[in-house]
Amino acid sequence: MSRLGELAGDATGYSFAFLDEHTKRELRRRTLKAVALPGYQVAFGSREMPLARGWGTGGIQLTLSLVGPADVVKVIDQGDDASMNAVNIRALVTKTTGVRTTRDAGEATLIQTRHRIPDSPVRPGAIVVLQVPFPEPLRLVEPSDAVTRRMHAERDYSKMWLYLYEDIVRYGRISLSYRYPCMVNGTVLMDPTPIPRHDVAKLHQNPTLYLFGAGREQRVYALPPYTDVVPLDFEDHPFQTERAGAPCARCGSDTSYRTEVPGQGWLCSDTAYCDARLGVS
Amino acid sequence: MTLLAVRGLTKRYGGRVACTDVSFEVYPGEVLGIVGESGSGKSTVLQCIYLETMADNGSITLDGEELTTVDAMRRRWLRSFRMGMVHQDAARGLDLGVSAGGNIAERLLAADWRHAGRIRARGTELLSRVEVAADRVDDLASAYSGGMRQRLQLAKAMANEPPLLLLDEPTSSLDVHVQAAILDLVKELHAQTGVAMVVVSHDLGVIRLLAQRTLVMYRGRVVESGITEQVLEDPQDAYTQLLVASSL
Repeated sequence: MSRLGELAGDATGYSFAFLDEHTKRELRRRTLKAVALPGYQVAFGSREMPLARGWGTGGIQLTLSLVGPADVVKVIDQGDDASMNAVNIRALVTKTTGVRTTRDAGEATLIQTRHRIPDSPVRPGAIVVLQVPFPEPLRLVEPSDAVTRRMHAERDYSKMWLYLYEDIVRYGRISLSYRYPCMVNGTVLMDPTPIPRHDVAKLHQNPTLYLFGAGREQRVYALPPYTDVVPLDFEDHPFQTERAGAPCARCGSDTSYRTEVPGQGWLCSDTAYCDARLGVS
Repeated sequence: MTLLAVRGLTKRYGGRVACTDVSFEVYPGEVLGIVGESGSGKSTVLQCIYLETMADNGSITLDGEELTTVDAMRRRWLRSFRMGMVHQDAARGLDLGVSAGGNIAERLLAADWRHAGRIRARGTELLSRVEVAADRVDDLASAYSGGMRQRLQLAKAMANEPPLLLLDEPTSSLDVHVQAAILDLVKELHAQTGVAMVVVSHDLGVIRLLAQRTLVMYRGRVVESGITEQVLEDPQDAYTQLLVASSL
């Protein structure tokens, strides 16, 4: 019986950062295009990765195409550095690059995240990479890609507005809790990924470069620093962030994004932020 | 001043000619009827004006603006602000999976209305103008009866008060007594707002009731035109004579 590790062989046969140089270069070209067209979904040739599509392969490919030997990498999943997805992605990055990793958002030069933006300030000049399950914000109202492309081209977002209006008619409020559609630079509608509305509000005029990678859907898009990101809303139903029921039961923060954990009350979802406030690392 | 001018309009589908060399004008506040049997090309003319299909030849101007060359964004704007359409089949003009108010809201949202309460109030007001009870505003359009769907289409078409309404067989799929009620409503809306209309119908009764002037189309061509009463009482063209003689 062979162990999996023996079957896999050693890592020396792989390029730095797993992907070959041409793939990384091509992906960086795509990324530059995405940065030049904030919010626009740029197609890229998504590669097979050593984990299933839909598990963060878009984010991983972006991270691997950007990481250099001097980078310090942080990987989080729903605010947690220790969740399985985050641990495995971090292991892949370190094993194929040897770069240093950290939990400290203020120290990392490259942060890959799923469904959260860190509550602590990100280091100036750092890049935040988000994993994207569904890059198309109009998917909610239109199943056909050919049609959504036309809608983007003509800036025809009345169906999305109508969806929000119908939501108000039915529920008395906008019930969308994640993947909240935002206008970027007043020109293109963007899916900010399933981050909470708490994090959506942070994107507007943010000094950090945000990159979004959808591996299964083969799209990258970007928010360069200081981009206008405005959630769709109505004058009488303004965009609102979530309200936690109490300050963090652990660190006492009343500004972080908190979720209710049965038996433990409201806790910071960003565990590194919470630990740092308590002086634990 | 002409509101709508159609010149030499021609549309083919493959080798088949849908309409050829159709020309007419509509003046502000006027109601023009287009009558003819099915397949005569009258609906194609309307679809070309509403830019649902692009004409092969000829020109269409609305308030002096050439419509056949506009881009997609302008086309959508024209449809929201300069024209309204009532289809024979309500499913083409409405989103049946959306509330009645939402169907009207689509037009208001296109006009940058961003206050949900005011959109709903305006929807209710428009529905009351087409004699639909205010408490039906949040009902799904699919829950509306045939006659009510036509009323809803009218309300939607008039949401941004365009100067031109296009009605394609607006009553053809309705019961006779519902037909009469809708025709009354169209007449009343015309009297109230002075909106110009192009009404397409195979039904001479509808044309007689609504239209001041009438075109008769046969095999894609306009064979006769004039004051409605004159056309119907003293038809000159052989086909018109047959049409009038064969009506009930």
